[in-house]
Amino acid sequence: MWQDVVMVALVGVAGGYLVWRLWRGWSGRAGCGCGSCPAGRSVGHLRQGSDRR
Amino acid sequence: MSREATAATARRRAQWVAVAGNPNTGKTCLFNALTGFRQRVGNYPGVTVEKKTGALRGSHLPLQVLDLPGTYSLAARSPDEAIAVDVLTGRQPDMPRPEVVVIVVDATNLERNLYLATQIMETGCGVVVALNMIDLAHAGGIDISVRQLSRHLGVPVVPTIANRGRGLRKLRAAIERQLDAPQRERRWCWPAVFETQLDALETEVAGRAVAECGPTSRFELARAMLDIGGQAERRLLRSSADGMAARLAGARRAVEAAGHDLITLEATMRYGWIHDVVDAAVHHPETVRTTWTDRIDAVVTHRFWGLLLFVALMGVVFTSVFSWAAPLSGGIEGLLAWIGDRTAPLLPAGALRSFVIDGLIAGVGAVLVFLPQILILFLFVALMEDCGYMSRAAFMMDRVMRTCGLSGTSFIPLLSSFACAVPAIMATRTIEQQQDRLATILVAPLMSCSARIPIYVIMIAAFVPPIMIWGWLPLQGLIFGAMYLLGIALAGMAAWLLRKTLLRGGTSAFVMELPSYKVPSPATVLYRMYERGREFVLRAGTIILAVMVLVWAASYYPRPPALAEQVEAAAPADVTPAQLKAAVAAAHIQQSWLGRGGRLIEPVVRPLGWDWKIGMATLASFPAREVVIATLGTIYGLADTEEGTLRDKLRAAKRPDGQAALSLPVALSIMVFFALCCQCGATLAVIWRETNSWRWPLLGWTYMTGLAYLGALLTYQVARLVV
Repeated sequence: MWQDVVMVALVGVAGGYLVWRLWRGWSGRAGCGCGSCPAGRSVGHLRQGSDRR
Repeated sequence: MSREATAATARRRAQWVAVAGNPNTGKTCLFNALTGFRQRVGNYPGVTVEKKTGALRGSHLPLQVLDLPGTYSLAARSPDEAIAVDVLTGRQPDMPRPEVVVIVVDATNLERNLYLATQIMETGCGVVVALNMIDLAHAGGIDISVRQLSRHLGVPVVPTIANRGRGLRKLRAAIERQLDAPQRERRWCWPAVFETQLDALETEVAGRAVAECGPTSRFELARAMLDIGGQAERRLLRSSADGMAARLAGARRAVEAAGHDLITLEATMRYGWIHDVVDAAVHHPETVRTTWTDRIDAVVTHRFWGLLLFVALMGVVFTSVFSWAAPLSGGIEGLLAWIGDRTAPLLPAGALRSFVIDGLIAGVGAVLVFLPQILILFLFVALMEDCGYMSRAAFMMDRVMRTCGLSGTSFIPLLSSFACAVPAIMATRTIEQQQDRLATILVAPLMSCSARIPIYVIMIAAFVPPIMIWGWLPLQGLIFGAMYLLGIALAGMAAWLLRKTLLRGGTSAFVMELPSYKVPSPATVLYRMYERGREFVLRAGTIILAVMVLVWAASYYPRPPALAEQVEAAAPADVTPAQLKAAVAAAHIQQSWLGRGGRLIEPVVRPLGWDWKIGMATLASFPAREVVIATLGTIYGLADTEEGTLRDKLRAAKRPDGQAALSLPVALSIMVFFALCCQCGATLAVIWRETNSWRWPLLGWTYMTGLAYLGALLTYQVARLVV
């Protein structure tokens, strides 16, 4: 039983992490996690200026 | 105040030093040397497509250094150039204008590099010229008088060799001196009629209610006059009241009526002045020497031999990746099996043991096995990049790209896509034509990224026989290379189709300098391999691990204790304990959440030859493609009690009717699907960000998924008849 409780907690952490990663990816704060993505090494201020959008 | 707002305030307060210059002059190398960073550098343009910042090392002042994308002039045409121009003219919304600009010029090609320098000197920023690659200039017999050059330009000039860290102390001192020096207004002397029109325009703009974002300085108005259809003109027209377009056209007509061609005016005047400066400060050798680079290029860039060499090189790379990595992968497999054997007895039976053995070791471990393939592929890529061959490849591909409606400018982003589509899509900012850029963005994910390597390798190793064709050509390496070729061929066709239908328009001009050949630096090559390897392992330990926790939970739960009893009760009397254990494991996974979901989608994937396990593994791989291997590792870890590697388990997997679950046709179908599909959330996100529209990621995902499904269907049905 205690093992199932640990697993539920782990699933919660993993799910939360994936949602966080997804949010960072879509909001331009992170890349795909490959480390080569410029967005993965920098923050939002590196995005293009609004006048080109 | 939020963390981002605090950071933005700190950025505004700091004093900024921008590193600018033409593409491929060593700006990022100099930036790394000045800040101690290890930003990626390359000997071809387009490696830096956004700004990068870092603190200036070794200075007593709190200076922030900004690395800008390369640009040939302040008449920005592509989005990456626009970023550089925005910063230099103080137009970047969250960035103050830099106090000092370090203009990096290539000492071997001073004349062309000084064009941008003369433009930047007019922006009103303090300027220091870094005369980079001075060693190559000396080696080529070019003698530059730094004092004369500095006197003619009116700014400090510091010779540097950025990749060896030479000249940095003097450069830092020159930057610090420029901060204290009074800023001199530098104005280019245009023809009288141009100046008159500029005066009138300046008065007009000052008298009108110009929006805040509009041009305010004489320099920017001059740029608006000169850059016909460019960024500066658009900004002036957008921000000014009605009638400005007519006024601007009138000013241009007046200049042309006086006998000046506006298109060539700036280039003629600036190059005329630069020519005099270079004449006074630079001594070129009397005779042009034929260098080793010229001799090698005669073959490497030859229309026929060059292309043949490129194809042969790619063949060597793919077969080597496959054959060299096999023993190393086997070693990692053995290590993981050993860890599993030692760990299992230490854990109590139940969910925790299953998670560690079937989720962590069989799942995430199955992905880590492919680290050697990634390292070997990037060993070759780094060698080709560092010796200067990649630039030649881009040059060679210009003609090929044009037949697909693209240009050589698209080659660098497409090449980056073999590592990962996300930086590749960002690298398309170097492409001037919007339609050209969109087409490149939409086909870039068809290039086989490194996340596909594990899928290709495991399927080939498990189902393609290790035989030699004609006694020397390994079939496994051939199939591996064929997967890359399939992506390339379909990317070409898709680009051609897009350019003929949705994205009609002109093609960007391709201008690129070819660097001299050199012996690759072991440090650079090893660092690139380390970088890729670390990223692969980090990805396995973060995203892939997180997805695997969810996949494992979905394939382990629910787990009613009564199920095992029912299976045991229904089993025939002569069943062996191992068979009974396998039947219980199969029953558990069949009724798990993953199993139930899998049976729902099975009718969709059955025509491809797949069972529900492969279907679910494919669905789970949306956050990262490698997850498909980790998921198969977990599913087969839970469902099978047989010992062995994932490769053995895939070979031995059976369907409920006793037929093999996977075979060569199924393996080919899986590989084709993954070669063509867009199973990557990060890629879709970056397409959306770069195009600022849902339309393009949606189109990209739809056409690639459709293509992948049809390709996999065709492959399976044909292979089933042939094999």
